[in-house]
Amino acid sequence: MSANKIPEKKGVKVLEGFVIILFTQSLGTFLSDKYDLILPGNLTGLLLLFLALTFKIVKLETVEGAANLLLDNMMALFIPLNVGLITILPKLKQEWLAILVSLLASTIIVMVVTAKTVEFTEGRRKNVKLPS
Amino acid sequence: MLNSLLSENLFQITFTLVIYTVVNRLYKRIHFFLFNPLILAPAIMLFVLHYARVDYEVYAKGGDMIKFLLGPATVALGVPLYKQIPIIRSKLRPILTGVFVGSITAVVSTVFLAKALGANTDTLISIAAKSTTMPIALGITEMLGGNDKLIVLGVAVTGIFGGSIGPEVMRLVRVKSKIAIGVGIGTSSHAGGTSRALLLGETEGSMSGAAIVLTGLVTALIVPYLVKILI
Repeated sequence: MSANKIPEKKGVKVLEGFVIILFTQSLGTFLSDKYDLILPGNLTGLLLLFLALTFKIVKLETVEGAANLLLDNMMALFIPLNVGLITILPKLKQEWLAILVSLLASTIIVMVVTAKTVEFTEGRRKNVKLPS
Repeated sequence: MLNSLLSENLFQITFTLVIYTVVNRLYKRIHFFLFNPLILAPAIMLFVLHYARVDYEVYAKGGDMIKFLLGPATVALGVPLYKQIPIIRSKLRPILTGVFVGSITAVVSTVFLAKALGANTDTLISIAAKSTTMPIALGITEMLGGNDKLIVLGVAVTGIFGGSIGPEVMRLVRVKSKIAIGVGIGTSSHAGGTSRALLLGETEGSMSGAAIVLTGLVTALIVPYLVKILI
């Protein structure tokens, strides 16, 4: 309507994005609970936000600022839980070897199996293409 | 005095964030694994709590308020997923096959090995999701009824380990494809591995990043069934 629009403030946009994220989370939690979905509510929320972006219901610039604020500082959110490791110290003392070995060995196994699977899938496609 | 201050929720939150900010800056300058914010920040916090004689339960009240943001952080992962769609589409079949096979392998190998080594059932369900990114791993573990502290430890160990050995393992097993290296590192060790994959090159980094959220989603979908079979 008017030619000189009021310039949008950055902080306002971050809050708008945060409200959208909270709303999507609420909706996701509601759907997961109501329909007994396999996905936990927060993950249903993740998919809903993804779909909203894909179908242009929500603009990327609207949520990007809030999402980056949350994701770039995510480690801060885990500090209280890591401090809480003190409460499971007896359990860790008893099972640390089984936990550590399975974590480390599994990480290597997954890395190799995944990479080999990807290479195999890529290679097979190339072979299929060759005769045509 | 420190004791009464650290019993206030506001101070607990502020102090946690101050430690995080300082450690984060230190880690950016000196990339030494013991300076990782997930290791050093809780260590300092524990030391301070111990010194001030504050019980963990008292501190946890402020901590829970910080944890409230984990839900929104999980939902926010929809943004990188959306941005990665062009990358995922460019190599749709290799990426999806790799992530799917990798996610199953992750749950099966972790639970199987830990069980064989004598871990308790509640430990098994608390580390089953260790190859997924932190907020998703927490959601999955809560759903399974596992221990939230143990999965955070499991995810951190996995990320740090995957990040420090990923490229070397790939060289050892002679994987040459940049896409395979990226998806392999990202599926096995999420953001920890991805930060290292980014140093290898753009393809490796973006593939590793694209694998993170996909691995989380696939794992969430398959883990209830796998755990039922394995435990």
